[in-house]
Amino acid sequence: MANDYAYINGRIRVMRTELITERSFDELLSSTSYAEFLRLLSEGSLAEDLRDSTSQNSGLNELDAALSRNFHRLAQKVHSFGKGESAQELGVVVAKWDLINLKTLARGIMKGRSSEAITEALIPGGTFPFEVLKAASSSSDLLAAATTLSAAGVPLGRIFRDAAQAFAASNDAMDFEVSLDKGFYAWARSSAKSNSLKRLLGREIDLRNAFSARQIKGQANPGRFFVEGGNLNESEFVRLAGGDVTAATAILAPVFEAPTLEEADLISRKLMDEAASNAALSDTLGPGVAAEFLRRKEIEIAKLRLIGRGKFYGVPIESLRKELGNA
Amino acid sequence: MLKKLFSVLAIFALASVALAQEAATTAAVADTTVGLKAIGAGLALGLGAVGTGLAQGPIGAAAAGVVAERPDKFGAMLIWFVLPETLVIFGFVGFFLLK
Repeated sequence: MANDYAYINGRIRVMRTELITERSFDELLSSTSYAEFLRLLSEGSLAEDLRDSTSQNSGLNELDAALSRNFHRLAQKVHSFGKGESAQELGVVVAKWDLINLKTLARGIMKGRSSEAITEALIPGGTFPFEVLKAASSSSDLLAAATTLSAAGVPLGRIFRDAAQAFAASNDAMDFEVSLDKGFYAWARSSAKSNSLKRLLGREIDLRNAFSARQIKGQANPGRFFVEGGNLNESEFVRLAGGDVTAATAILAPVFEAPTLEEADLISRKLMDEAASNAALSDTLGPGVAAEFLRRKEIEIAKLRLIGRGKFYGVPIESLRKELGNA
Repeated sequence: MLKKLFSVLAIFALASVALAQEAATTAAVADTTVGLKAIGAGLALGLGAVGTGLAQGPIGAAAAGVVAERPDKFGAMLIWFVLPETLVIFGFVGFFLLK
């Protein structure tokens, strides 16, 4: 196993050197037009994916497609490096985007959104083939979508089906999400063998619980929204949901106390960045390096989308710089 | 008289056995020293090679990963890969000193 990660992390570390540096971001920010922004961008490591978006008449849709393609390509590449146990662990790292996509898909179907609108919001980075997600997005209800997803043979298909059944029984969207989270994290924890990945998942579960406690504050029977696997136990979660901040650890308290949901989200993302960075540093022969790389790549893509929009609509540099700080 | 002669012959016979035993012991000690030196030389070279193998395993795997992404880094990776070979060189030095 150690040798698997020596090879995998060697490749990932080289890929990390191709991420856009702060200096390059400054150059992109200082570009005088959208065309110049694209030109500068196509001179770097994203050139291969940017071919269609640099042609004349191309707009933000082409840029978004190119950035999504880049992220998808790299996530799949990282996933493909593993064999046996390492493939299973890298699958857990990449499946994070499956969880996000499944929630986006379910919310879209529940709200009766069009297949196109749902597909646009998906992040092509998980273990599900994108075509399967697209096919599921045209389903009339969650159970039909679950049937389509189960055909892909991905473990999360079964978890989605269980969550869809929970929703069918209560018709409550929260029941669907809690069931999906519980199923996903139980599967992820059983697949994670290395301590660094377990710690990373634990932090993710804690933050998810802190967010959940924030949202359900004052609701009856809060224990059913609790997901196991983090440092926060169920009784502390129930106290937290009841408004008792002392139940939260020093790390989680700021998420719970943040005045707005956006600020809580920002703190939560910073805590996850820190946890991923620690996982990469503390376990050099483990999956933490892959988790940190994909997280950095995701942030890079988010920043590029933001700068692209800013340049396309002519937003002042200072406003863009402020927004980038929150990306 | 005959009794005295047999006694003297017996003494001579025992003395020659005793002298032969001493010579054999000296030869055995010399043989043991040579044998232990040979084992030491073997251990010096063998353990050095094992250490090199243990070190080169992950270094080689990581170097293969780096070269898969950036073939131009082959030279730099080769240097990192051969660094643990110094352990075998030390082993060789020990081997020749003991030989």
